[in-house]
Amino acid sequence: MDEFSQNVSRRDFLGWLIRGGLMATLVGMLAPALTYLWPVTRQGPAGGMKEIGSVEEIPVGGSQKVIVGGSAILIIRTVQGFKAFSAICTHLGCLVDWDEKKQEIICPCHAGLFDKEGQVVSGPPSRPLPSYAVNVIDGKIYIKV
Amino acid sequence: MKIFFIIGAFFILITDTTWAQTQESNSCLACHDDYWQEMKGSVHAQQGISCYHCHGGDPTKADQESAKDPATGYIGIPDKQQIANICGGCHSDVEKMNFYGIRTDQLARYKTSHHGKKLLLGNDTRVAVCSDCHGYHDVLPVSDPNSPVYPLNVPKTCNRCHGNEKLMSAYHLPADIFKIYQNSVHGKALLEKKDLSVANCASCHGSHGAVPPGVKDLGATCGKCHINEKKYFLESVHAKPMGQGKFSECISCHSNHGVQPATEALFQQACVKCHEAGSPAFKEGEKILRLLSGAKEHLSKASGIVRQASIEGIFVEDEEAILEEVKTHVVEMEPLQHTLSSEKISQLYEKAQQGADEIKNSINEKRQSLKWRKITLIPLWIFIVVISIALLLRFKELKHHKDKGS
Repeated sequence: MDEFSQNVSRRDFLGWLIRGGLMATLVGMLAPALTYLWPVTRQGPAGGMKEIGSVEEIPVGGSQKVIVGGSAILIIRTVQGFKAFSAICTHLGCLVDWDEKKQEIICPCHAGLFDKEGQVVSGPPSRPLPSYAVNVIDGKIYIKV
Repeated sequence: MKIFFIIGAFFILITDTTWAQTQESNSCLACHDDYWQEMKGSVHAQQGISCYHCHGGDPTKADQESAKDPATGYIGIPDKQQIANICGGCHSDVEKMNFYGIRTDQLARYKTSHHGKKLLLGNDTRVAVCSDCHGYHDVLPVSDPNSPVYPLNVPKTCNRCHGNEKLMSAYHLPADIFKIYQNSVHGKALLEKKDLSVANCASCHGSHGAVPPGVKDLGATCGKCHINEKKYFLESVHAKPMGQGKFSECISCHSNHGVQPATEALFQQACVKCHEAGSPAFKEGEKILRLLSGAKEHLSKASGIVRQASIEGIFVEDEEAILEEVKTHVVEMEPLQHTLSSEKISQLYEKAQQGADEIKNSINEKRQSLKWRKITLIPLWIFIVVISIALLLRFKELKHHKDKGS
């Protein structure tokens, strides 16, 4: 028998193994609990609001397209504030773009035009773009989807 | 419940009072009550337009002779020319129509139409005048779904005359336009899906100024709705012969009343009408067709990959976003093909292909990651088994000590 076997009995070895196993199991149980708590503080206030970026990222008159909850969303910043619309054209489902110069939302496929309220101005779309609530809290933009 | 009863009674009372007042001040109703029944729900009756506004006469006179005295302007049943002028008398008066926000160029436009020219210049009374489309005593606003000129009803209203074979043969016009339109992409969208935004007869031919669009006006007519198609067509090699009147912009390929959904089969059906198979123009068409079909195939495969991955439980939010972009490029190619430029179309094709490849690679990476996560489960299972054995041995050991002690 070597020195290790003489100093460490089978009982001690089993004790360490069980204690180590219990510790590992405890950590394993704690991890999902922490990941459950973590997003609430990281992704914004409750009530289905989702943080999509900071105010500085979108200049006045500019826009940004984001994917939230599997939906393509177009966020535009006008002098009145931020507005969010579905980026999917109500005609045939193409992704729409914000024309900063004309201050209009344009569908590149069939020239559907929407104003900055998402209402149809001209072209084939028959319905306005669905809109989403936007909140700005501490310089962060949140939208409700 | 009580409140509804009170409101109902109030309306009945008002209607009865109005009726009594109308009968009192309008002697026409003494004999022509049936006409009043027709008229009382009309937009004109609601605005206080009465019999004498169109028929002349003096409704304040109780005896028929005085009421219908020619000096009162009594004309009885107006003929078609009179109808155009009577309706136009008010409807071209800006001061009268301003209040209702109605345009005042209907009579001016009617005079430019084939109907108007035939009636007013040729005294042809078989053509349509205001009352043939709008009705006469029971005229409703255009926005009323019961109006014969409500967008959904326009084709049927036009067909009342344009479906009459005997009448149309006199003008050498076909009488089957409605049947053809009914089976077209526009007709199905309007009549079956009730989509009021699609083209009805008046959208292309005009309403009061109804004339068939000429060869050079066709693009402008279709281009009112198909904006990008028209824009790209003007960049194509077909624009020049169209300008020379040799090529009819849209109907050369799509036809007019019977326009069908534009499919890829159109390349084989329409191009060969003018271009010989194997000619450079025909080959360019084939190239465009390959690009269109290829892009649709990429979209279809990418959609399938994303759908399958989603079923497998893979998180595909990013890939769905790329898929939207691919879809946009594919749909964008449809109007762009009117440029007949394979170079421009291939730019979108490449973008669609890149997007589809990106989706494929991304999903493959996620599948690999999932595979490795499953492999990682093996040591975890070994760990659980070892701990279980350790616990069992410890239990036996404790039990052995307990038995020994007792």
